[in-house]
Parts: sequence; structure tokens; C-alpha cells
Amino acid sequence: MRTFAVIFLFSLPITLFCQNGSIGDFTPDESIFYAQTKQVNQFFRRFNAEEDAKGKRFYSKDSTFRDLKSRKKFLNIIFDNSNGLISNAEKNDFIELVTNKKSPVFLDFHGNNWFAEVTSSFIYKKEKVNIILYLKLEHQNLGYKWVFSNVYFTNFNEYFSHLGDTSNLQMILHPLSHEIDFMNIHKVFEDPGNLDYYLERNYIPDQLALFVAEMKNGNLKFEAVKNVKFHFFQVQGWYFEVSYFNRNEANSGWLISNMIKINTKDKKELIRNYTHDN
Amino acid sequence: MKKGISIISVICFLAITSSLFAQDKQDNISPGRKQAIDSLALEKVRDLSKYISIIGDKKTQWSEAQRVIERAMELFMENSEIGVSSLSRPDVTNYKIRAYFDRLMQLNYDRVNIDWYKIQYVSDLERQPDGTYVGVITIYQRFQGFDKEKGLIYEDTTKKDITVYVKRKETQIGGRLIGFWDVLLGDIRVKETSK
Amino acid sequence: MHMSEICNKVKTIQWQHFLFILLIAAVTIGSDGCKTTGKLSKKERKAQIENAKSQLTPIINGTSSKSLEQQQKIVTDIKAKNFKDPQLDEMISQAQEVLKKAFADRDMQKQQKIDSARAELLDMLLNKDNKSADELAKELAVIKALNLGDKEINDLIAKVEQKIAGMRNKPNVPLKNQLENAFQGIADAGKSGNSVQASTLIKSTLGLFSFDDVPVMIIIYREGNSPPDYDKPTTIKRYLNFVMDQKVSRNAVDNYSLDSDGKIKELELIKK
Repeated sequence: MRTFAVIFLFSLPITLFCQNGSIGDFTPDESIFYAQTKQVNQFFRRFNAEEDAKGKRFYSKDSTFRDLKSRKKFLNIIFDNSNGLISNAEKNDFIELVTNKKSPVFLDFHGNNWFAEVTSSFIYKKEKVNIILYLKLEHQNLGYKWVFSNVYFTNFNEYFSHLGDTSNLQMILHPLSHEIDFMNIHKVFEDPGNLDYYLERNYIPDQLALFVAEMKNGNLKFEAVKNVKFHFFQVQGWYFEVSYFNRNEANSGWLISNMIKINTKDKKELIRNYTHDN
Repeated sequence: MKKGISIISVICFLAITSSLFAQDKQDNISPGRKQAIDSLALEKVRDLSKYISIIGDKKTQWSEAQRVIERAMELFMENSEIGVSSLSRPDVTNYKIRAYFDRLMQLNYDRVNIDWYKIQYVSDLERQPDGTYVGVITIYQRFQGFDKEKGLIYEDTTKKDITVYVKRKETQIGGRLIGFWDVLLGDIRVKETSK
Repeated sequence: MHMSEICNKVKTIQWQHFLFILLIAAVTIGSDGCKTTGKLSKKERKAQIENAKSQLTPIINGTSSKSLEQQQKIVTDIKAKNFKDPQLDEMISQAQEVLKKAFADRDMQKQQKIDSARAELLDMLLNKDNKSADELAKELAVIKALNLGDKEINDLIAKVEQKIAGMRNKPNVPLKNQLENAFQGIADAGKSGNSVQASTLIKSTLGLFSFDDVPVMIIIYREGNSPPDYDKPTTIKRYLNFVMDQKVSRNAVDNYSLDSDGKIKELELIKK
């Protein structure tokens, strides 16, 4: 892997290394750190070829800014190499698409359609649980901020385990209940465990609302962030996921950990995971 | 002395009152200026790393370490924290910056080596809703703890992602209007790197 | 030339050459280490007395070009030969008188020179006229050329030399360089862990400023004619401590303004 890092660093034009002394000064460990995609910001810049091999930023007026050749090299190193989920063919298709000479695709920090997934531990009713928080960037006044777009908590999901269950023929409010001023409705609430049988079939539970309520009621207590990853929908026809790989090799840091070809309908469905109201 | 104090308090007051006024003019920062701000931010991080080395140094006397901790604290935004995780404890534990410095000063080794790798990575500066720019600077540190008899007993390399807040402010000094960039460090994520 | 040849020549040469040849012979005898006769001949004695007289004459007249010490030696040597010639003895005592006076005169003159040199050197040390290091060095060179060989004067010369060297390192150096040298010195002292030296330097540098909290601004960027961008303003005391802690002097002096006492009341630095 170290060899890979060195080859990569040397394969870019020599002029890129002229700013801070010679590359020969690097200890082996440092060359790994140079190759490592250290920040999500660097993932963006590498994806777009907006910096040199050492991480020095290019500006839009620089000739090297978004240079096609560098882009292809950078794109090749921002995939998790240990991952068997992504085939070489898929990878090549993807790179071809985003580096298309006529209509190249760039990632845009402010361009929406990318989400953060933060797995965190909480204490829920005296029990340690994991809750996934989804966040997205939102514009406000002079700048941006990350906002919660959704959460996922298994326990919340269980509340709705009977949702859309059409095999149930018993737990219903009969169609003439209205004529009796829904006087039978109390039976529904006497058995709250089965309340979800009575919900509209296509109802999409709003976990975020439940989460806020549980937090405010003091039933949920935050403990710690456990893991962070990102979901990107900015490349048409593709979805990919970016995760952090903490390992002592050049192919480390923020890398594409999963990627699938998707159509518009699937995409919409997927995005629904990350943001309830989509 | 009194004269001096009053000047400084005037600087602070003016800085606060004029900060909002100054922001809108700085929407489009030229690359040269951006680089200068990046360098300034990097410099603050370097200042911090020097302070950390002094505080961690076993030869530094207690009173001297306290003085340096005070100076280091001035680099930070109020309520900043350090979120630490290790290979053995992946959950992030947050410490108040001062508690972290105190811990660093009291580490139970006979000798401590703190080395900083030459590499550093500076993110883009993004604006938050109030117009303040936020960036993250990544640096790497090697820590070694030695025991008199057993020699090296602990070693780790950590990646430090340091939040940097940059705010354009204006102040009046000697009758002149001075535009300056107020750079303050924020939360720091410390992650042990894989061996 | 051998002794026998000389003797032959004596017989043939004219008398007016006698004295000259006698002199040469005397030299040759001396140098050849030949035996001398214990007693001088009458002629020889007369010649020697004449010679002694001719040597004493310029001394008595004060026209000798030789140094006083050399003249004294001549007189002493002649006296030691004890020719017992009354005229010569009279001349010897006259010469001794003359020399005694000359020595006294010389001592007096030297003392006067020492006195005036001392006064000059003391003036130079005070440097009331605010002369530059170069001017002082020029004046000092003149005094040194006198070669007075007096311990007190030599001590004073050393002091003035020290002062000139000090001036060359300080007040004559532009304030900008003085400050930058001080910054570097503080950084170096910090680096070598010499906190006493660092504190001393900080203290002496603060002396150049109106007060410890003089504002210090650091230019981080300048673009065209627009006003420069600064780092957050600080004070000189904080800045100097900062340089000591960081063990590096990253900024050069860009500008400063002085108060009525010639002390710095505002300092502008710029990233190196």
C-alpha cells in the first residue's frame, strides 16, 4: 500500500511538489498521511481535482483547477480498495461518467442531495441504544448549517410493525363507526400495543418527531457519537456512500464504501430514508 | 499601565460593535487573501501545537505550565471541547479544553515526547449563518510516554481535526480604522490512527 | 682587512685621514676580536677624547637627532672611560645637565598629553555631543597613535572601544533592526530554554516602548492600494512573551510611530 502511495504521489506532475521542499523528506508514515483522504472536504476536492497531491488548493483561475487527467487519478484513489461490493466495471463506468469531457459531473458542497449519517449511542429507558441521525446542510442568512433531516431508531420502528398489515381482519374500526359517533374507538386505545393496526396503510412514520418528543420528555439521553458516514445523490443515476477507513495504508480516510446504479424512482425512495418529508 | 488597559478595552469594544458591519463586504475573498487567512489559521494551530508541547513537557515547571495553559486558552472560542477516541475506545469522549490541558500536564510518565508531523490539511472556509467563516485544519501528532526504568511504555499517533473560526472585524487604533481577522480555535476531534 | 695592512697604510696616508682610519680600525678590532693593548697610546687617547668631544657637542647644543635615551647612553659611556681630561669632564657635566632638563621637559610634556588624552577619553565616554560611533572611533585612533603607554589611559581606551562597539550594536542600528534582532534574540533564548535571558531581553525591549501595552498590529495580507488585513491586534508585552513561547520570530517590523520621548507608541509588524 505504501508503494501505491508513493507511485500515486510521483505520478502527478513534478511541479506540484515544488512548494515545501522535496518529497524525499517524507517519512513513510507521512506519505501515508499525504495519500490519505483526510477530510470530507478533501474527498470533495479530490473528486473534483481542486487541489494538488499535497492538498494545496487550486483556485478556479488556476490551469490545474479541475484538470481532467488529475481527476481520473484522484477518482481512482477515492474508492475503498478492500471493498468487494464495487466491481471494477462499475467503478470505471462511474469514473467515465463523471469525467465526461462534454458534461463532467462535480460534487457540490452546497448542492444538496448529500446527507450525513451519524450513528450515536443514547440511553433509552435505562438501556444503551444506537440511534442513527441523518443530517443535511441547510442555507440560512449568510451561510449554512447542518440540520437533522431524519432519525432511525429500531424501537421506534417496532411501534409501526403492523403498519400496512392487510392480513389483520380483527383489529379494525368498522365502516359504520361514524354513525355511532365512534363510540367504539375506546377499544382501540385499550390495547395500545396494537394501535398501529389502525393506521393509514401508506403512513410514513415520522421518526424525527418521535425522537424530538422522546428527547424533550427526557426519555432519551445522548451518550456519544460512534460513527459517521455520508450518502451522495449528486451524480445522476448513481448513489454512493462515503465512510472513514482508519487504517495504516495509503488507501485510507474518507473513501467510497458503497455504490449502486439507481433509477430516479429508487433514488427518491432511498432519499426518503434520509429525509422524512421528501 | 492604565492607559494601556483602556486602549485594549477600546479595541475589544470596537471590535465587537463593528464585527457585523464588516462581514458583508467580505463575501468575495480573493485567492491571495484566502491564502493569507488560511496561513493565519494554520499559524494559530501551530501556536497551539507549541503550547501543547510545552504543557506536556515534564521539564516545564508547574507555574510555567499554568501560564502557558492560560495563553493556549486564549486561542480558543469559549466552551470548546476535545473529542477523543482511541483504537481500544472508539466512542468519542468529550473534554473541556482546560481539562484536557490539565490532564496533559499531569500525565504520569517520567518523560514525554510530543512530535508533530510536517503534514497539515486546511479545509475550505465555509460561512455559517452569522457570516463567520468555519474551517477545519488537520494535523498529526505522535505521543510517546517514557518510564525511568522500563523506557517507552506508551505511544500513539493521533489525527487532530481542529475547528477554526475566522471572523472579519474592525477596530480603531491611533485614529485609524483597522480591519482584522479574528481567528479562534474551536472543538478538536482527536482520533488515534491505526498502527 | 688585516691588522698589518692597516699599519702599513697608516704610514703612507695623510694625517687628515687618521681619525677616520682609527675609527675603522677600532671597529675592525672589535669585530675581529683581536687582542687589544691594555694601555692606549698618547695619540690614540687624544683621538678618543676628540671623538668624545665631537659626540658631546650636539648633545650640549641640543642639536642631536638621537633619542634622549641614546644621548644619555653616549654620555654615560664617555664618562665610564674616565679620560680625566678637564675639558671633556666639563663637557660631560654640561651634557648631563642638558639631558636632565630634557628628560624633565619630556616627562612634563608626556604628562600634559596624558592629561589631555584622559580628558578627551572621559568626554568620549560621556559623549555629550552625541557623536556617532564612527566619529568617536576616529578620535580614539588619534589618541591611540600617541602611544602614551599609560595604564590609566589604556584602561580608558578600552572603555571607549567597548562603548563604540556597544553603539554599533544599538542606537546607531535602525530601530527596525534593533526590534527584529530583539525578537530573534527572544525567540532563540526561548528555543534554548534560557528563560532568564529571554526575560532580560523582553525587559530591555519593552524599554523602547512608551508602555507595556502599546498596540501591536500584524499585517497578514496587502493587496494593491487597499488597506491591509491584520491579525487580531495585541500588545507589545504579550507579543514578546508570545515570541518567547513560540520560540520563533515570524514577523518583521513594517512601521512604527514614536512619542515625544522617542519611544514607540504604535507598532506594525508584517508576516515575513
